[in-house]
Amino acid sequence: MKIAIYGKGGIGKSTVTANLAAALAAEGRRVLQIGCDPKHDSTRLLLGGRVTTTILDFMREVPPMEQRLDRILHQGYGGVVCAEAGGPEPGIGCAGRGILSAFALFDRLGLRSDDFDVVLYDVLGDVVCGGFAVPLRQGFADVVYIVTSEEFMAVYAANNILRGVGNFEQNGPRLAGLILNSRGDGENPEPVRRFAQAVGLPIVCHLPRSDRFRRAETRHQTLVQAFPTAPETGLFRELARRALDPGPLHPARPLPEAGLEAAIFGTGSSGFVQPGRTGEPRPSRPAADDIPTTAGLPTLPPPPALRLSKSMLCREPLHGCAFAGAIGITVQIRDGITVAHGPRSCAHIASRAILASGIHSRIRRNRLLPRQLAPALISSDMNEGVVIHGGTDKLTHTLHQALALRPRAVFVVTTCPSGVIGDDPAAAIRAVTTGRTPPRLLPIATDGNLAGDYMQGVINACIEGAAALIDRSVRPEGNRVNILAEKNIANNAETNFEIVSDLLKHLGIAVNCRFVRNASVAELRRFRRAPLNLLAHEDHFGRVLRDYFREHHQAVFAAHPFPVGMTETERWLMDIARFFGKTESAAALLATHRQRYRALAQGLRPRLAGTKLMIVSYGHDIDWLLEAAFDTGMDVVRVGILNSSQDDLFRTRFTGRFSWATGYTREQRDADLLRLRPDLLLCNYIPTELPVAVRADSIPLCPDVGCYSGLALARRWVDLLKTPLREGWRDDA
Amino acid sequence: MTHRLLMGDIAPDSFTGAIIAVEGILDAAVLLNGPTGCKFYHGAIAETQLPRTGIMDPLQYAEEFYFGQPRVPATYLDGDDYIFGASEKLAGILPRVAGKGHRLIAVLNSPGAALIGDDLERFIAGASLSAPCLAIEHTGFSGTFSQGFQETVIRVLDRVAAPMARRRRTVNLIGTSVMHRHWQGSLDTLTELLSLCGIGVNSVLCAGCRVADLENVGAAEANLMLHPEWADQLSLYLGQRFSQPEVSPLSGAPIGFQATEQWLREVCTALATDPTPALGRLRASRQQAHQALSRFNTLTGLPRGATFALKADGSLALPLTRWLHEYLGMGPVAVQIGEGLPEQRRQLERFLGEIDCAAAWSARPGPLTPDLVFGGEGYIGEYRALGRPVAGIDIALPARGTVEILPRSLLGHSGALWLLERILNRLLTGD
Repeated sequence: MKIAIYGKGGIGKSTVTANLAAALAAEGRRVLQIGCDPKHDSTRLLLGGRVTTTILDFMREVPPMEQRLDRILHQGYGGVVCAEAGGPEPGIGCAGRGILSAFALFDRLGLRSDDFDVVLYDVLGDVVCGGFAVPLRQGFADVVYIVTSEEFMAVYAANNILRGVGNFEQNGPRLAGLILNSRGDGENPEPVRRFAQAVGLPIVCHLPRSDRFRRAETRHQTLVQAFPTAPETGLFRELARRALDPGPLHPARPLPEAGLEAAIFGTGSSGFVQPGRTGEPRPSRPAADDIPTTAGLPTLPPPPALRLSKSMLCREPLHGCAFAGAIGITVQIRDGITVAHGPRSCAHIASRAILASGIHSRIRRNRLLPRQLAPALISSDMNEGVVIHGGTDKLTHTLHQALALRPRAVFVVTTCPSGVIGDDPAAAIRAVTTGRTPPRLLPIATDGNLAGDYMQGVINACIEGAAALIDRSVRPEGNRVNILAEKNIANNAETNFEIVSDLLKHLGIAVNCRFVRNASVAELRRFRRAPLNLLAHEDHFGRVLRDYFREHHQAVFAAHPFPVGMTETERWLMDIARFFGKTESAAALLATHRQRYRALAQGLRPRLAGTKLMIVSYGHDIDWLLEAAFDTGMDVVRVGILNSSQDDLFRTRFTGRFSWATGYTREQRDADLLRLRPDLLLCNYIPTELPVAVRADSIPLCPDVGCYSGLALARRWVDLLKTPLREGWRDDA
Repeated sequence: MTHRLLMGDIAPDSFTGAIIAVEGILDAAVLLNGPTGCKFYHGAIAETQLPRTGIMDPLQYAEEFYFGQPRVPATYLDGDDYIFGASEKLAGILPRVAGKGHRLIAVLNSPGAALIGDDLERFIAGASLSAPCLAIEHTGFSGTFSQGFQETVIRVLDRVAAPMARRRRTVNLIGTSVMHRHWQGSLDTLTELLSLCGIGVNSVLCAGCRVADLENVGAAEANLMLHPEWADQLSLYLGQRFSQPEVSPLSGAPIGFQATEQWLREVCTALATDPTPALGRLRASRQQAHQALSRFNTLTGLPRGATFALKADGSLALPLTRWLHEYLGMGPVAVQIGEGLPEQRRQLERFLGEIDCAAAWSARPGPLTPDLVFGGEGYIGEYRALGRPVAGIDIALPARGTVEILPRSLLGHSGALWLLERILNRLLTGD
């Protein structure tokens, strides 16, 4: 049983909730109480006055990989498990967003309501925004109580709460009744009775004003604990019994504002307003069984392993947003549509990054990539009204637009504004799901950068979007491979794929599915048909995907990513050939390439041998470059690896042959240049201001794959070393 | 390929418009209270469209808040900031940005930041900066680019502009931005033509101007609207505040020879000057064009009969369509307006009806393959994504992505020649 207790601020909700929890615990029930109030004092009486770390403070202070449930759950009186969401200082930040984040953490850490007989949500004041409505969402509270006093503003707030509850009643009524907490001696309960009658709710408990509450609080105890035989405690015991068996629940029938005062003070009668702002009836909903479950503590499987981007893992400033990263993946699915829920600027920014790669691929690589030139992306164009009143209707409308185009899958990706106001994509998806065979509708956790950086969005879209389409019943067969972790915004992604495909084709191996680039829903469904999987890049993203597929699909991976340079190509192709029993064909092919490679390297040696080379790179795997340098006799005097949002693991097979540093800085670079005076400096971006004159050249962030990538550059270095140390144009700055 | 699932380009909205308004001022800067996802794109586009440095090396801008870019420093909001506010970062970033010597700083909330209610004015007041600093807490959600642009220009003018003694026969150029294709070259061309007519340009709001130019905006005799759909609110504001009349040529923007000639005549009539010298310059360009067209047409029969699709803002779409049709003999198969006023849409629709091409009005890329496609690369890309072998002429952003060093213009006589050169070469090469 999951119970939400709402009511105006300062009305005594926390006292009521804590006493209800204590009474339930006294009956031997396992109880979890979650305080959803920035004041974070909901569970104080259960914890003997102890102040605990709130969930939001905990999230701020503890790195994601070290976050554990047992550090935010605290045991109180009668074994009641207590948690406080917490929130910002008054007047700053967004408390509603805080509630959303706290519940997302519960979700991530695998808190299961099934482990408790009763879960109590003690929720701040009015349902003022999406954050405070989280306990009303599907999968959370089964039953709602509203605490009120006899004061007009308390009843007014109760009426507003009914409006909020009404917006979440698609799966039936959830109101158990009102709890009247008298605020003074001799207060007239009649207005509350009239209100209860007008809205069709029972008053399930009437708590008289009593000094025992104050005395118990002085002892930092609930009334149930401090005065177990007091009459008021009896009322809580009765409320506890009722809470376990609330009987028929009631729909929300809020009064129109204009008639509220009249109804309460008995000066007239009022009509009811239906849930929703306009009073129009809501469309009927499909049965819950038809709906893909996407959120909600009770239905969650055991907590999954964290799949975090490098920036999230290291708690660095976030580079880009998860929203854009997710879109970069989902638009690659040929027969899918991505719905971007948010202001148009967000979809514009994300689409321009995709378009830029399409334009560059066409201009620089002569490759036409339709998915990049006209991505299947629809923006919900969230406007002012939506931001204030919630965006579920707008998202529903946009989903209908998307479905009218008959896609095989629809991905819903959300922005920061959507996340801040607490829109629930799952609710919109339920609204458009019909009885007939629907396309897959998949929400992806992004909320702009609330879910993380660009790479986090890429990871989430791969796992929650594309991987959710995989048919687990498909069995591996034939000489097929999947390709994973290609970089969709790299200009050479397509040409690299072509080079790799050609090598594989030579061995009679076909590509089954590109995960996720230019793939259809059908290809993704058949993902498991390939017996072997190949990573394009073994950077942080590649490693996350590999771990995921090994764990969830028992996928077998080749030992190495797409090869760059001769040695890597030999190793990579032979590995694959061994797997498929095709070593002879591979060896023959490689022998030809090796011979050609040697001849090319030998040809370059006379010009490059002994040349001092320094490399500064964002890439953490530059063996392809080092191989070319060493094979042509160059002297690598220094390698500086810059901090990158893409990777954090520098690796090399040439250990001991050169000196290197990670976390390299501009100052280190300048000092090394002065000290080492290299003949050639290689960087991803050629610096403009250097302390010494040096020939500098650029190296790609994503190198071309294949046997000759390094040598192709080395051939250029020969020409470069013949050029003047400083070009004339540099004098015109 | 699933054609029905290919979508059109998603236009920028009022948030981008607001940023570009300030970043279009040479000595002003946007300080973004927002995540890096909003920062990177705007930092890149601002520096591309109005470069302030030739240095692209991210290590050059490694300091906090800049993230490897010279433009649009940001508070890099993350999950915690959305809950607890970004007080600490705001307090840290303001003095850092002010230390760069900008003459004006606009602290601007991203759409997400606008919802958490950080009190920007409080931080600005607390920082006690010497340069004027403007708080723009909200730039609208999904408003049009021109809305965000104009509202921000007005906020800037509120802050810096003062009443000035009027300078006769000078104009402010309004309704253009650094996001217009070849904006600098177009302004150079028009300034030259106006100068030939004895008209001086007082200030160009906010496209490549300086804060000092904006302080003097009240000195102009009139406000000349280059693209009325980008200047309707601004013109009203300037009229009310400085009692300046607006000049809004009925011909639309001066694109192509016909519209440029009409534009010059209307402007000179409004300012009581003689257009003859500028018309002489225009005539010389037309003769230059005639020679090239004559040779090209003799050998190929083109450009007559070539078809085109076009997507442009309202002030460009009609004069360009008209010029392509009436001057070059080309036929429209699809014409769309991006940002535009209702009257511009009506006029264009009417014109297409008059030339028996009504089906072209607002037609999306579809079964017809035009010979030429005019628009941003997003629009041109839609045709290419459909497998249509079209030649594109990028008259809007995003551009083709090739390096451009020689100044190019889209407007005026130089713009007409540039367009013509592109048209003829594209018809020859097909790309």
